[in-house]
Amino acid sequence: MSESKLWFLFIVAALILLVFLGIHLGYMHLDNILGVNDPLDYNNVKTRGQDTFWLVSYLILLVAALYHGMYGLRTILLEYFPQNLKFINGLIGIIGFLALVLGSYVVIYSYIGG
Amino acid sequence: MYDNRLGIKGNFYAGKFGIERYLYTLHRISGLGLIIYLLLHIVVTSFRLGGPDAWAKAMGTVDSPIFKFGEFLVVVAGVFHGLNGLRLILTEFGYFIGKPERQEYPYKYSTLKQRPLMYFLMILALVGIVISVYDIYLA
Repeated sequence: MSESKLWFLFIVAALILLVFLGIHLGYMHLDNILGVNDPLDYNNVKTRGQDTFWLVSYLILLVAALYHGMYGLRTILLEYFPQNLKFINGLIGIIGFLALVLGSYVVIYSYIGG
Repeated sequence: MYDNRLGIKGNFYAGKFGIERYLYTLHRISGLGLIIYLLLHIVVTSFRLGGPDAWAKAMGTVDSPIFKFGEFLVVVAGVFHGLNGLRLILTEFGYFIGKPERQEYPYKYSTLKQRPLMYFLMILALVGIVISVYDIYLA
């Protein structure tokens, strides 16, 4: 894919994150103000994991956040080490792929009743 | 390929550039913090698969004032990065910088034109940070 398309996806991911990360951060960190019952309690984590709304939002967050974050990290690394394009692309790709696999495995496994 | 003359130093001394140049530095630092946090977050939350005991152990490990402050920093970084990023996207696509016009003295360049938006969003970020301080430490 061309650099400009990769960059455009980075911007699209940013806009998605504004909405979904807003919901996620608000729910997890404004729990006292919003009256959310201990969001880190195992049973609450489990109930959320089996809810279709949270499944979809976790998957969207995972893809958008990893793409946006790893693209941003790549930009920074390329700025300081412009001669290492292939190595940086590989490193970013491998870390992003592993995190995506682990994250989506946890989210999907939780949804189907793990 | 280009020559990055100032290197990392260029992030901390902006010379005669405006405040936006320091927001750029903060944007970059908060972004780096957030991506490192995201990768840790994916690993830590995966302990959920080990059942209630593994989860309790993982949550116990991160249940200390230092980690709580770290979590607070993640919220601060997220709020700042999101709102400053919104400004970057809006100005990138030509909003809040006015229409192109004939240059006449005194010059009004785009950095000046977007400044009210910048102040508005930074105040909004501050409000968000104050609310999260209240929720995390005081409520």
